[in-house]
Amino acid sequence: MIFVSVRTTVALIGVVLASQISLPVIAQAPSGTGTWTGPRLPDGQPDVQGTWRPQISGGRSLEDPGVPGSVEEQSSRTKGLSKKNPSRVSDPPDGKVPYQPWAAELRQHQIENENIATRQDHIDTQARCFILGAIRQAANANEIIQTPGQVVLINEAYHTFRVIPVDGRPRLSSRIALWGGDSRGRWEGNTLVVEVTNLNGKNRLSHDGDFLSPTARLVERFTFLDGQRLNYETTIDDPKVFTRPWKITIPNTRVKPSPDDEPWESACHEGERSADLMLQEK
Amino acid sequence: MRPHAVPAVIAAIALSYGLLTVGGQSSMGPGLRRTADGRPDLSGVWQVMNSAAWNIQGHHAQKGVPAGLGVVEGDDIPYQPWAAEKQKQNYENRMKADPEGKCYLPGVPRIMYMPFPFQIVQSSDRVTMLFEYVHAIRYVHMSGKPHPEGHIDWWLGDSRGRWEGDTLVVDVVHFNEDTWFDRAGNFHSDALHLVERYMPKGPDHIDYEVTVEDEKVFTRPWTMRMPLYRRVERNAQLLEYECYAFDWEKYYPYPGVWQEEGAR
Amino acid sequence: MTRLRTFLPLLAFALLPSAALHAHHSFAAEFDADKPITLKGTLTKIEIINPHGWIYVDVKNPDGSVTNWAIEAGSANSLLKRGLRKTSFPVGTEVVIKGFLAKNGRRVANGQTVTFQDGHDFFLGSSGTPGAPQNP
Repeated sequence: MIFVSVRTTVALIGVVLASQISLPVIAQAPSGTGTWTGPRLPDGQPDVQGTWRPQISGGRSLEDPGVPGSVEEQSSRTKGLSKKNPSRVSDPPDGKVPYQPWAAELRQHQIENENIATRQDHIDTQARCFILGAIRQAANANEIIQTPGQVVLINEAYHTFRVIPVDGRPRLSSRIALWGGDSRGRWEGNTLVVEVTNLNGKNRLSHDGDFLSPTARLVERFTFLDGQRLNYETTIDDPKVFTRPWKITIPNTRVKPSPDDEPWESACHEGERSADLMLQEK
Repeated sequence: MRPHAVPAVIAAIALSYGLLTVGGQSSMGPGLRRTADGRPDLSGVWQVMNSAAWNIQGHHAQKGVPAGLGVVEGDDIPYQPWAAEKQKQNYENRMKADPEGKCYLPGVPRIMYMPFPFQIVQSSDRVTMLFEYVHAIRYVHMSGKPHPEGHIDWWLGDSRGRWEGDTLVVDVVHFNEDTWFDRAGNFHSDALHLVERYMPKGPDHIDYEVTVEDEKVFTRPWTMRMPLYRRVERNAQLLEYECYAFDWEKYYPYPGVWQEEGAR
Repeated sequence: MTRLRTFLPLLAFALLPSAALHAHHSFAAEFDADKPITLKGTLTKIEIINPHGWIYVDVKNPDGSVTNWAIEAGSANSLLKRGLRKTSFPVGTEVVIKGFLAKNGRRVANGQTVTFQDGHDFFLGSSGTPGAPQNP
């Protein structure tokens, strides 16, 4: 029997255990992130699996989010009479999306015409069941599943998903433009930082008709706090459409898992008839 | 300080744990990756290499349709007489009548052999399948809960899975009658019941077998069989096939905005 | 087979914590909140589909003719998870539907509730309408 010192044994075991973690753990997290003290997965990722719901849900509007509670409230909001929810836009501080004038005009036209649609472009992309895209998907509840090197976000309604590799792989060819763009993530302490590029700029970000360009670049920060809260923040950098970079912030809470709850199929395009009903006869 | 008596065997166990889990190689199967609970890990990007989506039986090529050896055991689909007639009519009308032509969810098992990659994400209580084709999702519930009470008309059915050794067995019911098995008009009713078997044969290859039962349409159960191949190129990932958006793209985000090719 | 009488009353039904039902499109894009409508008729068809389910009702007009109305309901899962199945409502069942008229003049309405002859209520409305499950 070979005798080794306790110190050597501990060091040996430490070397073996450290080799299990395949992701770099940045020693000094940039400001705005914190350390992660919760459970970790075998590949070293913080375990943040589960369902997370925004405190105000829905992609109706960025500047006045949330689905109103009653038909009467919806009606009064359409007539511009109701109280607004706080804007999702956290920067600039006035809560307004900093559109260039030509872009602001397009969105205003859509706001005025969404409920009296007479043209195909008055129909929102979500009503047509197109992929939501990162921002619109973040405005609704997401289930997070993690596998080695990947974070997967699933929106049950209308079967939308995002696969976010955190394994350091390179970006896609810039020739590939996607409805949902392409995501590349990395962990910084308790924050999943995701860069989204390769957007096709076609989907709307809200019923209001917010949009961006194919050259937009998003930097998202999913900050997980105390196991129950997720603060989602994204910076949109898109000089073709906006006068400056701007930010969206969406606080989320963890949904308590229930054994009765399972995700079920949620088709969309197959049964979609609203577009036809929304178009008014001229 | 006198060294404590620590048997080298403890250090040896720690080291061999490292060898077992680093790179995910198991000493149990022929190079199969396994999850922490010892099951084969089917996670990754997979795709078939056949032309079953056009025709599940043996067929020669037509314009736009590659030839195929066929994936049906015995190459025979045991239709009831009325259904054999219906399949012939479907075939005659296939270019207009195939629901997949409207970009509808293709049903199961057709979605498994569409010519697009899909990704398996394996958790302990669920195997989730994410499809590049119209970003479809199949949830294979592994919790042991039974199918919900029926009948439910779903495009991709309700899937309940369990492990039998290293084979993932999935029971699927609750289908609508609006999908075809292929472009050739092979079809089913809402009484469709499938039993799928995913049998990993190595780290990059799954033998996929599906038994089809439908008492309204067929005289007996029948089986399809095909390999699923892992997409082994570096950085394989899903892209998109937003089938039903192609005709509407010109209106979005607004007419005339970013419409030129290579706008990015 | 699920039977009508086994449905739990709406208020007793626990909210399900699954993914939120974001409004597929705004109510006002399709329906008129200033035009509530009550329809009495017999059921001809029920479709539990997404993004909205549909219930079809034959309504007798004052002149004796019959018009088939399409009533928009909530998403498939909002109906299914509350126990509704397509066999729950037999064809020919007499119903009273309260809702809001479509804006385009067609015989279409957004259904809020359907009431049966025995007084039993079933809530139909999609999210963004009063009492909808998971209404934020």
